[in-house]
Amino acid sequence: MPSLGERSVSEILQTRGLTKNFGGLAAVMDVNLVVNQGTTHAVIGPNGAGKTTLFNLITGYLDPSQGSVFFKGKEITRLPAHAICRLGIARSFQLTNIYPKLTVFESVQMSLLSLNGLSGNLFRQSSSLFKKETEGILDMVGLIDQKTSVADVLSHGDKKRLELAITLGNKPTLLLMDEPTAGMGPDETWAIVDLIHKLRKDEGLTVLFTEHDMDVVFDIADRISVLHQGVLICDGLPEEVQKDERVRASYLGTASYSGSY
Amino acid sequence: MRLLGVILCFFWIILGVVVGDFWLHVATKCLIMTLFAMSFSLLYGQTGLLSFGQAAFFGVGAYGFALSLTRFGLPFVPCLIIGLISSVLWAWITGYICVRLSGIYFAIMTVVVTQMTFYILFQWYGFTGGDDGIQGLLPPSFLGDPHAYYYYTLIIVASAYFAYHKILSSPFGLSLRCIRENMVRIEFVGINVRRHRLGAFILAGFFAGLAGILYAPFTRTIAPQMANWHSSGNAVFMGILGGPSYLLGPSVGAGVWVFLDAFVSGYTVYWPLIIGMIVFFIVFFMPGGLTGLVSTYLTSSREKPIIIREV
Repeated sequence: MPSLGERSVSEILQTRGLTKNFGGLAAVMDVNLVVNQGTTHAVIGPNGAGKTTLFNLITGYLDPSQGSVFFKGKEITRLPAHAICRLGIARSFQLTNIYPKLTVFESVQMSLLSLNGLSGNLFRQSSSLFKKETEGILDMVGLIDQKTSVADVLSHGDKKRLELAITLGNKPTLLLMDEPTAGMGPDETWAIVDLIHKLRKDEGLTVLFTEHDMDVVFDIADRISVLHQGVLICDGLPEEVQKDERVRASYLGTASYSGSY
Repeated sequence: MRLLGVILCFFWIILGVVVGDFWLHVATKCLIMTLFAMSFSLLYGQTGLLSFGQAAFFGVGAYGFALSLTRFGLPFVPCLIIGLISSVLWAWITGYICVRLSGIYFAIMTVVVTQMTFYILFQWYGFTGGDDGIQGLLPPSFLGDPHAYYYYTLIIVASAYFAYHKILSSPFGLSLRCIRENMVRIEFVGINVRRHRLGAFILAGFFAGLAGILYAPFTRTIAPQMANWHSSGNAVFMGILGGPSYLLGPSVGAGVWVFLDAFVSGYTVYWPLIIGMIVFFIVFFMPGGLTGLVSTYLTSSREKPIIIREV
């Protein structure tokens, strides 16, 4: 899998000196992260390492205390979240973040309406818009049978899948996934892994994700960055990261890597 | 759906012929209040914004009409248009501030807006007539007959209801429901929440203003009290009573409230107490309002007709 070298294709996302302080605590400190076009890039680190904060800074949920974020060479620091989304960055959330009382179909359709600039349209019948596209996405994530279900009644795994389908409806060029398989059973987890493989192959999607399951990380990531207490301590190919002493000490444990975290 | 709409229209058309003067008056008021309840329901039931300020736009609509009629002596139709435009503009200005807030802060801000509007109308004697209100708001002679005014109101309210239905089933309606369901998530789908909320606020102001311009020539006299938060509370009550997230909600809520007002107040001076107990009962046992109750108990199928399906 790791076919992309140290210096390769164009950067799609770059952070420069990104810092976020919460009171006296630096959740993210001077992070310089580069994500290359077409890669599947993992951000790992123990709980509280600042992974989610980093995602929140990139997607405009939080404003950084210092530093900047560039997407396709353009600065996006401090843009509102909806504007960042419109540039082609979509994200899923660690805790499922869906529309409880809407149907699965409507939830995904909303993203497509937004993408096509129709979210403010008053004169069309929404139920008939982007039917095929919505069903295509639901089919891809395996939710087509539940399309008329209300999102709230779905199982946890299906909610995670819906969460992913909502982000795919935005047809992003960069997809950020915050623990896409958290709380899922093994079967569901590997279904998601297969889906991510498929997405990058078929759609050429660049993926930046966090994950605690090391099997998943080493299966899909072709580049790994390690955060520890808000600091980027290591960044490289999976085998490099696996060998790195600091990473072992801080995260994988001083004993050799044993499969999962 | 279409059938039910036609049946309802026929019901209201026939009602205007069969009832006497008193109940015709009640029916007209009920139609006007439907718009007022719709104004609240669009914000609360669809967008998730609890507004205690809809009376501001109701009042501004009525005063916009009344002032252009009495102070400037304009003809009837331009007065209606000025009334409507003033409530839309007022909703735009105040909404611009309100939609920046959420939850209880939004609710409090709307109380501020409605009380501010009330005090302007109440204390600006020279222009608005203060607490004397404005009298003699006669409709033109062809609408002078109560039946004519009833049908004129019915046409406007039916059209507004059709528009409300269109809004709810439009992409914008879906955006509003997504905002209601999860205003954090929807930002990350590329939706500018503030702008969409402002859109909903202005539309709600439009419906309240429409109620205002129908109300003034109907009662022929207006007072600043129609813009205070007590009056806003009526919109809240009617909306909750009918079921704010149902298409049929505003008309059910307004119908029951106006009927109770007319019926119970004939028996006892303590009718607000009775109304209060009914509210208590509904809030406690029927979170979806009366339409929600019908929806739960009368239809068991999953595919409910939209008119009684929570949207």
